[in-house]
Amino acid sequence: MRQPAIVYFFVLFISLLIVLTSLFLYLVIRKAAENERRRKIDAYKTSYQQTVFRYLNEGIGEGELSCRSPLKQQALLELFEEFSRLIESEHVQARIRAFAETHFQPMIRKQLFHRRWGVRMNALFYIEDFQMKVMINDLERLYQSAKLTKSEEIQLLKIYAIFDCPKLYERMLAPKYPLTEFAYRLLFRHMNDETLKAIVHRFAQWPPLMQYAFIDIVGIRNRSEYGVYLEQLLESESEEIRIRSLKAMATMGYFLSHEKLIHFLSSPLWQERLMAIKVCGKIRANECIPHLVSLLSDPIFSVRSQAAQALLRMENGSQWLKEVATSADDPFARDMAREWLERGVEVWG
Amino acid sequence: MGIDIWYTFVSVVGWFVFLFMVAVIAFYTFLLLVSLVQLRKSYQLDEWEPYEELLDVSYAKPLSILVPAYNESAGIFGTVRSLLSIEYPEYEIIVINDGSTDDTLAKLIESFQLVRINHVIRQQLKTKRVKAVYRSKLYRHLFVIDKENGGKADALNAGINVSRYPYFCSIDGDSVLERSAFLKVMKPIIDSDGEVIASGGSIRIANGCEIESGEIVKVGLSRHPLVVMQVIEYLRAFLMGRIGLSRHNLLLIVSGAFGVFSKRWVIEAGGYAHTVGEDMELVVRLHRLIKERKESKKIVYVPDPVCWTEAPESLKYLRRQRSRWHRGLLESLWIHRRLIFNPKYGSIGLVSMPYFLFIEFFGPVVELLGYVVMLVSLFFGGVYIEFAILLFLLSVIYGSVFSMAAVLLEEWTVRKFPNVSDIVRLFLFSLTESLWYRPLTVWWRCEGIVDVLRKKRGWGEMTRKGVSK
Repeated sequence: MRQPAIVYFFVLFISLLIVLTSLFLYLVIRKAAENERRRKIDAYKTSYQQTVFRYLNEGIGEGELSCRSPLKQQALLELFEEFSRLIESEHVQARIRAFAETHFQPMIRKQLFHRRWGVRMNALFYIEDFQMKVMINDLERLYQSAKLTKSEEIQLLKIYAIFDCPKLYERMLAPKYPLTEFAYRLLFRHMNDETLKAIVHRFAQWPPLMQYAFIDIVGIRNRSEYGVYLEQLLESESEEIRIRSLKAMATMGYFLSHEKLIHFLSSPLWQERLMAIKVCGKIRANECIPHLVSLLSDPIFSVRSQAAQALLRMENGSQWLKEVATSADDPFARDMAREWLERGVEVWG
Repeated sequence: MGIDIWYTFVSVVGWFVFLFMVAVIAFYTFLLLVSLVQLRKSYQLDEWEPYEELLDVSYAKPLSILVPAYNESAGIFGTVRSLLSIEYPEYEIIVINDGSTDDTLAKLIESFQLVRINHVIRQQLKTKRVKAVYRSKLYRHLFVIDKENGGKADALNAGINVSRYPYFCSIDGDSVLERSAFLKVMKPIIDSDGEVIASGGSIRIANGCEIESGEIVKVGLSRHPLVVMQVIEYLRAFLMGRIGLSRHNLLLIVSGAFGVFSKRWVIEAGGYAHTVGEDMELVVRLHRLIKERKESKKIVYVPDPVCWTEAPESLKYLRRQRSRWHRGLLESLWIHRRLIFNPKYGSIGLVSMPYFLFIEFFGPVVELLGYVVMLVSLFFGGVYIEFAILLFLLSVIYGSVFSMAAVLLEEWTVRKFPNVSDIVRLFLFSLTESLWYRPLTVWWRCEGIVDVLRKKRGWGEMTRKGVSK
């Protein structure tokens, strides 16, 4: 019984070794070839560098940049990508785009529909870096394809945002894969002002994550024209929306009336107190000083810390802190005041 | 008659070892296939583009980097220097001097112009007394905590208390990070809106690489056979094992040498515990908390960000390390023994914990048994010799073949080694694994188990501490 079993097993074992060894040989040969390829590409890059730089700056010498062999094309692709990252100026970007649209298009299109995810993603990055609007139809085809993954969708939508594509808005509302807040932020971040203005009135219909992301981005992009709008959102029933609106106001230094500030400084929600303190500090709302002083005894650590930090920015703020540090009954408040007096006004943020 | 019983006994044990190995080989094959598919997907993906966006401060979540140091006077300056130049928009570095008896603190104070600050510490985790907090005058995001000695876990907990940011990462004093490592390891956390609460990167061996002022300049392979074998072992453990486990949220280890955690979750789980393998124990506790709260949080492994660490080059230290790892594993399993086969804990209780218990923990014992049966069978002669050959071939598959596959997997997907000769050497060495390296590590790990059994009292003390959490 055992005799044939072991024979089979032996055969299996030997074939395993043969498979692994041949795979190994293949990989070693491939590696040697790849290393050689890389060496050549790097050599081409060095020899093309000056010409590319001249072309980008002065617009001359396009004819010298040959894309005939795949290696040369790869070298140029990499050079252009590196330059697109280094040089921000508009006319250079325009030349990069023009060159990419004429010379790289077929290659990038092929990559865009490659069966491997990594290659498709690279193609999307190239399209973004080179601003190749000419490929919008290909992008659309990829979006419709069944193999589209979540990360590709986000990258695609981001390109739509950069290109001001009108389809973006409906796709944000009904994406193929549920979008995270991070994805929404990314999209709002790259959307231009007109698009933003055009869609904001439909805020109420958005999914909550999209609403949160919008509020954050208003703060981050410092779009003070939406300040009044944020102020209306402070009446919202959603805690999260109120907290985020306060946070955005703090980030952009929106002047909220001190009545409203005081209302939030005494909110039962500690996050609202915290964010209201941040607003006070940012806009130096001296009227709120007594409230800030009492918040130095707040039960929440970060509220106490933030209150001390905000007081430092006020008129005579350090005077107030010194008083608390020496004579307050609450030991927590004393410690906090001491720490911030010592730290002084650090980077405010 | 008496001899017969021995023959039967050896057969039974032999068949047990045989079936065990076949089962393990099947499981490893499954992990290998999952990893292969995963890694091939992102093959050739650009190194930098996917992370560029995260450099924007408004997306990246700020990070506290904790560096526990106990008598690290020699290496601490280099580690901190390399951390000061990492690519991440907002972070702070907190070095915790855990009551060093050498001049670690003095060196730090002098090199970075530290000044003592009056910092209110939020005691969210209980630790030994913190003597002072310092801040660098040169680098405003560098802090040093000086505290009484309490072990690595205690030091990390003290660091968590002082840290200001919502995520933290612990780094061993003797490791070197790639500059973009933090962006890469944080990406799943940021991408998922915080659904991922811990994320770990790969550990690789720095011996043989060229390192200049805390940065890897060129990846290479050491000439030392013992180190080469460890390189293979790490490839196998990370590329083959963890990707498969991470894919199904079964990951139980985020290496202590390089992992990012959500501070809130770690604090709610009770922080680091005083165990030998505090990194694994914490991850198990986090999984437990996730299941108990019925939340859909994840712990993931990201293959690409690499932390390079120095591997022991002598048998003596390697032996110590392995037996310590095995003790750590046992401790974590023991503390959380209630999870094993407990359906309440879902896949963690039904798959991960049994995997670590039977394959990772008992595996070496069964392998050792296999070696014994092989030897005995040779003496018995006859059909037993064939059986010995059978077992031997199996153990070669178990040891060498999977390691060879791991080396090929690395070259087929991640490709960190630039030289052809490195790959050739890795492959040839992996062929020999079953013949010398594997038996050695099996023996050391079994020694670890014996150590635990011998020192019953010390062991009892440790379990009490863990359970009380």
